Amino acid sequence: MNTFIAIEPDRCIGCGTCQAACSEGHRKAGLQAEPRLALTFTPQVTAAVTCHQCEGAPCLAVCPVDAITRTDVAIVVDEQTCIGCKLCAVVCPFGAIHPSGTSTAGVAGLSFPTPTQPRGVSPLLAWSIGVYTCAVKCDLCSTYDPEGGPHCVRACPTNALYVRDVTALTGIRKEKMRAAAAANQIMMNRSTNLRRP
Amino acid sequence: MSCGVPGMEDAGCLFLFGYNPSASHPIVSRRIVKAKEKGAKIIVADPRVIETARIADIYLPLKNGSNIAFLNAFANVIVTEGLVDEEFVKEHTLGFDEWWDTIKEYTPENTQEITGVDPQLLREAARMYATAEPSSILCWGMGVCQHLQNVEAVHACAAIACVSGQIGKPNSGVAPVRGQNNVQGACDMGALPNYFPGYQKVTDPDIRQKFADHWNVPVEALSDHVGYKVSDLPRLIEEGKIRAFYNFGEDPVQTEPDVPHLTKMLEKLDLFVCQDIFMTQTAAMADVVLPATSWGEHEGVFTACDRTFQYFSQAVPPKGECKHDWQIFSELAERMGYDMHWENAQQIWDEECRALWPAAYGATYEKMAGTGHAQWPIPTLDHPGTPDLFLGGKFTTPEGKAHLVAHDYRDPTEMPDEEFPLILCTVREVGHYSCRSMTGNCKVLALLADEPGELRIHPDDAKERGIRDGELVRAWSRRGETMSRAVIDERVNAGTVYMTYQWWIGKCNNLTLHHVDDRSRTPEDKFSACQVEALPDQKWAERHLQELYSQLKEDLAETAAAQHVEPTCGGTE
Repeated sequence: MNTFIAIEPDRCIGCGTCQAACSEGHRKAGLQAEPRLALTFTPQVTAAVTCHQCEGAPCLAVCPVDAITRTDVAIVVDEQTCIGCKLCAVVCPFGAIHPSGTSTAGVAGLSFPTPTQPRGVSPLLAWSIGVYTCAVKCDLCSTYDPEGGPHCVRACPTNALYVRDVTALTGIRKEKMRAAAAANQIMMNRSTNLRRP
Repeated sequence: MSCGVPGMEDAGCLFLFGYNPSASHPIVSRRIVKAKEKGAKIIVADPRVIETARIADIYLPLKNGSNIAFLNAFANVIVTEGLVDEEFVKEHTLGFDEWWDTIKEYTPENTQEITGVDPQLLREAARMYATAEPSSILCWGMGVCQHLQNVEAVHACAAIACVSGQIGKPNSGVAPVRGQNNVQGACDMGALPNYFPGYQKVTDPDIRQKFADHWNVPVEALSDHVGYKVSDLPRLIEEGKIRAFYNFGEDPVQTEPDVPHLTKMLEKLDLFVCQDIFMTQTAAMADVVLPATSWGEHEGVFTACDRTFQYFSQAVPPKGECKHDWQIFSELAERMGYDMHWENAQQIWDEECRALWPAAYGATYEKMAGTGHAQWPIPTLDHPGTPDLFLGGKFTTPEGKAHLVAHDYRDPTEMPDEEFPLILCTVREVGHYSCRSMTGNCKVLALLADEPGELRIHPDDAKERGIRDGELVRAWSRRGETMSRAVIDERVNAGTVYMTYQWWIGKCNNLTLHHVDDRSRTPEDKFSACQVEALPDQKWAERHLQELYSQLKEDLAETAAAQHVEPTCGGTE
């Protein structure tokens, strides 16, 4: 059974603290600073979207260099092995993987970034001179802080993010089955307000 | 605020009017989410679908600049539908009849054209607000204060709270949530042209005598009239009335409206002193820069928007030439011939604040130790502090009663026209604080939001102009122009674009109108006319942006380098 991060959109205030915590944690561990969560806004919903750690992870299946592996905790990318081919990003059903690289500004004699295309270009097509990209995705912070758990969850000021693991999901399943049972009662024209004697 | 922030969780109804807590105060926003989960009704009136609008029971999308028409109609419903708390009005307010003379002219139906709000929805909202148990709180932010009719709208909000009896009991009343950290504290300490510390009027001879005695100066040395407000600065320089300007912890070249004009005026000053922790664009213009310490380098007391004093301690020692603000002030005073001497911040708190401001006397360092706090009024040492003001309908006017005041609606100053068909409204975003001098250097925050900021535009307005999502655009007004990044946003209303005011290259204050109201002299930052166009060569624009930004950072760093001295402590010998 896999573990992943879920969100309650009515609690999300779109503040991006999860992204900041994600970025800071990974950056300090020497990984790409790019946040692994994306905030998505529609008129009705605000939610941080991130990897579901799929059971039959398509990203893992398509990786040509085996840079994506399944650990006991999560599906993780080895940034050093990744060749930046973007196949995983294309097959991800949730848009939860995208390429990211470290800008050469300030190291290669360039004092500031030299954009090569408009920012509106999809991250799948974007490139920059001298920047080598690799896939970034949520690793539940397991690669650098297995004890601490996902940093985004503990950073969220409104407790909108949750770790969904086997215990939580079993509880939810029971609730759903109870609700389904109650719905059956209604279908059979019976009262759902039966009290215990 | 007449209530405490924690108490917002326990109100029966929260009415957010011109207030977007998710962007300006995430911590308050958290309380609102909790209030909703505890069963509170939420009403949101805002031209944009703000985060809280998604969880609101009623969302009222009003047109920009229509506040007074909306609030008057809201008040009208409370009266015509019999929702008035007659006893409260009789016992605790004055001027109901004159107030009603104005309000009766505004109905949800006859204001619909101005406000754009469905009359039925407005009626429902007024009913929900007025009848909520145990209490309702009317919250507002800069969506009230930065309009032409700002003081008028505050009068209207206060009157609505009074006539519906939603004030004077726990967790009720009015919640104008202050814009910035410790802006409440700055006002508490008398950083206003009309007050000494503790809201004690400079025009009151007894108060002047009290301060003169305490400060050991002749009473004539203290000014007996109200001073100038910062928004009047450019005009007064132009008129030759101000020739020297001492700027302390502000970046007006970033935050004031109509920056092109302000910059020209600042250049005319004979003497310009700037006291700041970073080399801001304003500091770079100054004749003298006095480097101060940041919040991590000194101790002090902040006041939260709900009047709560909180102590904060020094985390690291100051670097280089930096001095605490109070040290700079006392050294200046001494050079000017007045003996001003303190040992530490606590001494100032005890001898200047608590000793001179009766309502803060009980706020000792002991009470604020650790994560403790003290909420004024807290007049005695054993006083627990006061989360809720005006309990039992006791107001602080001479009569002890609330004065009901109503005003007629006026159009904003600069209505959109053919040349400038879009309304520009300046707003906040959560990631960067105020003028960005403190958060701009933070890598994580820059990763989430960076130059040139965003211009949020409705899909229809963008389509009309051939603007695509994420592209750089040019925006301009009668004052000036700027570059920004268009974000096509279904949550904003058509006809208005929204920009945040902290970007150096994407500076929206190059466009904003400098028009202030007569009473508070607050600029009309929420409403001016502008136009936006797509930039044809995006690649060039992206590079140009980077060049401009890098050049500006380089210039500021170079200006700051003159001040750099090696720390005198440490060393290896």
